[in-house]
Amino acid sequence: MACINPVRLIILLACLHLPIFAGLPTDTLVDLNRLNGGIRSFQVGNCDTSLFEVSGKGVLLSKGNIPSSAHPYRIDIKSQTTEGVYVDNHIELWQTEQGRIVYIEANVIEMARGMRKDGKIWVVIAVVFVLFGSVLGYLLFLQKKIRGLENKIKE
Amino acid sequence: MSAFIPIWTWIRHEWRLELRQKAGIQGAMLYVLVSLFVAYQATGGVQEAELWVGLLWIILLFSVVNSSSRSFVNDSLGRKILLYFWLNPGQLILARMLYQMVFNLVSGCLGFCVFFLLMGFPGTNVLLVVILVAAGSAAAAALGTFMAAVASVSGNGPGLSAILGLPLMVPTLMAAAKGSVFAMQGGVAQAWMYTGMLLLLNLLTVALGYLLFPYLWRE
Amino acid sequence: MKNYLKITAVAAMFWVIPMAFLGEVSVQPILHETIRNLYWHVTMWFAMFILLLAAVIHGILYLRNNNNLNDEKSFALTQVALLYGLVGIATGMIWARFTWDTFWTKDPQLNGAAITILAYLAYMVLRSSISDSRKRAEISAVYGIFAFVLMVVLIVILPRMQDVDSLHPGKGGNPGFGNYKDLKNDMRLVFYPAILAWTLIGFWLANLSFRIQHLTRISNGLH
Repeated sequence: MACINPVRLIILLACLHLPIFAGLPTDTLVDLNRLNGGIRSFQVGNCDTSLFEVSGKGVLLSKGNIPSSAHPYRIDIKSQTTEGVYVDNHIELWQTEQGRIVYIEANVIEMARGMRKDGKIWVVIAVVFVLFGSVLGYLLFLQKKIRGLENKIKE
Repeated sequence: MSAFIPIWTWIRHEWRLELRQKAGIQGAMLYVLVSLFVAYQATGGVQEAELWVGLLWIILLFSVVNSSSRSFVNDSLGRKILLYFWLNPGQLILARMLYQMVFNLVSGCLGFCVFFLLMGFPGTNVLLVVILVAAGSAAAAALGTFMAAVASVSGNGPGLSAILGLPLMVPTLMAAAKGSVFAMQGGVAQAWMYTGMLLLLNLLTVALGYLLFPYLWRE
Repeated sequence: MKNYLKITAVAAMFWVIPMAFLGEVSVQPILHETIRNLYWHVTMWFAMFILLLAAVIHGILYLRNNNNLNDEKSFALTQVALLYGLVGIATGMIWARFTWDTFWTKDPQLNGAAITILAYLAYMVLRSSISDSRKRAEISAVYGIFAFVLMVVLIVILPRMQDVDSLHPGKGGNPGFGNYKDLKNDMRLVFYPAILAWTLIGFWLANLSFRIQHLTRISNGLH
């Protein structure tokens, strides 16, 4: 995921009690570090903590055996990559007697961080200041006029 | 309890006046029947619950607004003086609201019966829908009565009472319509919740009306 | 209106404007950067609520004291609140167009907002239809109280009771308003000053409007 362009990236993996990525513990389900391209930080939105946990490097692990059930287990993890891109990961895990299917949807949340922050944002702020300043100036002008009228009537 | 006697007397008096004025009841019946016939001719029976409920409540709204907006309008000066000396304002508004609530409740149920006969009934729980119709008509009528009072004090007649009343009646009608749809589609628990909401709205309207009407009546 | 309040309003606004664009915000799907509209659209609705509350308080004060000033202040506050409401709906529609691809949607809070605007437009019609100033004051006070209780309170209660499928934040599985602070608390630092700024500016506008109307009435020989 080196390029920022793809809005959606869908991966479907079937796993039959085999490690997905070589070299990692056998109960690893998803390695977000690899998937999102280097994770700086992440935040778990929705996760059944009795069955799963997310390690410090952004690896989704299962704690022991996952009981099979009719509906999938849903896990939401929002992560920020080392490049500063935000990715919203939805993971659905079906566990049946035969095996396990992991379905991952990784959506890049486009923010205007890099592009705007290098100068163009100040134009926006300046414009808003000018607009607000003119409204403020008109308010002050009105206020002065009204105060003048009120003083005149008092006499 | 003796405070209730003037209210009850006035309610009976209003009923007698209503019977004397042919325009009142017959007018309400006419409005409902004509709009029902138009709806029937246009659609020939409706199968979807939402559409059915929507038509029903538009027709009921029409009839409730019409009858409740006439409640304060026909007061001649003589009658106003009589009321001023005889009832205190809280009793008057309670009497008028209760009268309008019962009247519209009954006319709403009658309208529902005719609607039921003409347009069929795509759903279940007829009794629950009738309860919702009753609660909704009563709540809308209470609001309409108070707005008629406001309009009559301002001196500008029934048109203004509709303008004032309709925005405020929208939550009542929404609750009634949603509740009816739930009832027809089998969601009894939600329908009861909406009935409770309608009763609360009704109570709120009557309480606020009772508190605020004396200020209007000072004219 | 006290000068320090006006200065606070302006200072708060000067803080909010740059921070709204520069500050860190919570990153949410669907919303992306438009979440910054929170500082403008939502804060305006809060300010409108406060202004309407003040209008109702002045209405109640009028009914107790029969002081015409209270009625005029109530009217000015309602005028500004109506303006805020219309702008609130406009900003909401713009926001909706960009995030949900539609200008309007079937959502209880949107309905409630539209009905509130209708009710207060009816209030304006009511006021302009009565010429006797004492009658007008009493009737508007009564209707204003009624409208406030029935409408604004029901916008708060009714949507909470229904579990509706809607995109409006807080309903149907969307992260509620409280969850926007999940990544950083910095949003609160801009949000609350924004409410303060809009409310105080609203009071300032109402104050000016009230004084102009008061002067007009005096110069016309009435009052």
